Amino acid sequence: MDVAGNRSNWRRTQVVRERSAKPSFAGSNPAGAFSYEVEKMRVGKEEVLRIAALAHIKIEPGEIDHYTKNFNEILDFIAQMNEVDTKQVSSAFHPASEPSTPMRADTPQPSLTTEEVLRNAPERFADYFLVPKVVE
Amino acid sequence: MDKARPSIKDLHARLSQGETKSVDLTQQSLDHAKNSDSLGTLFLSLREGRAMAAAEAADQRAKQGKRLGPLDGIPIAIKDNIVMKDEVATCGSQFLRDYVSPYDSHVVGKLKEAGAVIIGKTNLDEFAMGSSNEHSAYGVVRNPWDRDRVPGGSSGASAVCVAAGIAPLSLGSETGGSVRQPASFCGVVGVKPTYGRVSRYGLVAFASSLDQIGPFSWWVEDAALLLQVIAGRDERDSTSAAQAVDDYPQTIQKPIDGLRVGLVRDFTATDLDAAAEKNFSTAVEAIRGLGAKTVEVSLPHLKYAVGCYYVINSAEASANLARFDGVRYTSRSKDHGNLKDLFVNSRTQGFGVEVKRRIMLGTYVLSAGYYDAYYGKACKIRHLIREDFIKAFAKCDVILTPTSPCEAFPLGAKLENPLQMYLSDVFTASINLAGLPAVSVPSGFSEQGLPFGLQIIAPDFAEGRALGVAHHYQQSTDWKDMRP
Repeated sequence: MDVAGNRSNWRRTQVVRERSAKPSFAGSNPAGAFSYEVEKMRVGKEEVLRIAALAHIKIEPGEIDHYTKNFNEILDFIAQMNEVDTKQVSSAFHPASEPSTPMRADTPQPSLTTEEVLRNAPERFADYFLVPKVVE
Repeated sequence: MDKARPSIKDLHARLSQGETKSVDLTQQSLDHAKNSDSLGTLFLSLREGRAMAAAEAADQRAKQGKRLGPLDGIPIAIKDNIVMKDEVATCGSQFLRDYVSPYDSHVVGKLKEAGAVIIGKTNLDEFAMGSSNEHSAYGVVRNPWDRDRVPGGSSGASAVCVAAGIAPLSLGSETGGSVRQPASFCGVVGVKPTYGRVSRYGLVAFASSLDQIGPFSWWVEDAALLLQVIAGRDERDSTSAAQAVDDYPQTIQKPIDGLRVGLVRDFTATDLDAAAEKNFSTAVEAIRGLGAKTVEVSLPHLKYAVGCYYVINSAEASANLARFDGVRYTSRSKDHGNLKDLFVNSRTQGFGVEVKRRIMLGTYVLSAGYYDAYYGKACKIRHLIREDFIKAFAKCDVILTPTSPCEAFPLGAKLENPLQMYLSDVFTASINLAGLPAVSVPSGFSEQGLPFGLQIIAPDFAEGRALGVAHHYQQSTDWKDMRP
C-alpha cells in the first residue's frame, strides 16, 4: 500500500493534493512555495496529539498549530515517493552488504561496573535506578 | 595558529625534531578557543588541564624519540555526541546537560593510542538533527567567513574549529551530510566514510543505518591521516566492516589522469542555485585539466532521496531516542506523580523543538496503518537509490556533485521552515542512504566571499580514491591559501 492508496488515512483527512507547486531545491526559494492550506491537510490536530502521546511527548496548546503545519508540509513533500512503482522492489533496511558485518564470538567480555552504570542516574537507591511506584 | 595552516606532516616533522612543542600548539588552540566569542558557542566543554597534561606526555615521548605517529601531540576537537571517559557529552541537548561518560568511544580510544590531544567537545545541532547548528540548546555557531551566516550542521562547530585555525583537525558525525555540508559552508575538507568503515561505538545514535563519524581538516592529506587512525573493524559495533583499511596517505598520491569521472545528468532537474552551478562547472573543468575523463551517468531515483531520507532518519531517531526517559542517564522532570508522567514530562522538558518534530514524524511513519505507506516505501526507494549508484559506478570511478545546492545561508533564514532546511541536504543525504564514501573539498568562493564545496563520491570502501581526487584538485587551486 502506498501513501496515496492508504485508505484509512485518505478517508480521515480527505486529502486532495495538487502536485503542481513542486518544492524547489534552491536556497533562494521563497518560503511561500509551501503555503499551508487547511483543507488539504494529511494530518489533523487530533492526529498530531495522538502521535505525540505515542512518543511520550506533551504538546502545549499553543504549539499544536505549528507542529500540525510542519507535519503536513513534510508529509506532502514525502508523498512524491508515490511516483515510483515499487511493487517488485526489495527493501534496503541498511546499506551494508552481508559479508562485511561478521558476527563476533559470543564470549563474555568485561563490562561497565554497577557504579559506572549508575553514575548518571538522576535518582538512585542502593544499586538500583529509582522510579515512582509502578504497582499499587 | 591564526593565518598559518601547517599540515600534520609539517607539524609531525617539527615535533619530531624538537622545533615545536605539543604544549605550545595545545596552549595556542585552547587560547584561541577561549577568545572566539565572535564565532558563537563553539565549545560545550574545554579540557584545559587534561589536554595540557596529554600534550606534556607527548612532548616527553618526542624527547625520548618515541613518538607514536604523525598525530602524536596534535590538538584535535571532537563533536559533543562522541563520548570520552570522564567528560561531559551533552549532544547539544538540555536533556544530557549533566551526562558524564563512563567510557571512551572507539574513535577516542584510537586518538588516545595515536597520542592526539583532545582539546574539547564541540557544539552541534541537538542530537545531530539539523543543517545549520541553530538547533543546539547552548547557542548558535557563526560562520567565520561571514558571522551573520550559519556554519552548516549538524557538525557546525567542528567545521568552524578547523576553518578558523583553532585546531588542525576535528571529528564530526554524519547522518545525511552533517560533516560534508558544514565543510562546504566553512571552506574546509570533510569526509563521510563508507558505512561500516569507522566504528560508531560511543557515538550517541541518531539513525543507526545512516550514521558515520568523519574527519574535518584544512588539507586533504590531513583528513587521510586522521581517517587512517580511526578506520577499521571494531567488534563493539556490529556494522563495523572487516575489510582491510587502505593506506590513505599513500593512495591519495596516485595521479588521477585517465580516471573516469561521472557527472549526473539528473541533477539538472533540481533547482541548483545559479552561483553554485557556475562554481561546480568550473571545478569540473579543473578536474578535467588534471587529466580525468568525464562521462555522463544517470541516477533516476535521486530526486526522491530527501523524502526517503527524512522518513528513514525520523523512524530510526524515534526508536533510538526512546532510551532517553528520565530514568537512566538524562535529567529528570521534578513534575511527576507516576512513572508515565515522569517519562512524558522529562522528555517534554528535555528535548528541543526539532528533536520532538523528528521523533513524532518517526513515530507516525512507523505507526500501525502507516508503516507500509511511509517506512516500507522509503526502504524500497532506498534500495533503488543504491542500485542507481552501483550501475553508475560500472561506468565511472568517482561521481562529482556540488556538496550543497547553495552557499551558507543567513542565521534564522530557514529556522521556521523545516522543509526548506531539509532540502539543503539534497546532494548529501542520498550518499548516506546508499552507504557510500564521499569527500567535500573547497571549490572556491561566491561573489560575497562565501565558500563552496565540491563533493567527490566513490564506491564502497574506495574513500582513498575520493580523497585522491580531492587532494590533487586542492593542490591545483588558489583558494587553499585563502583564510577567513
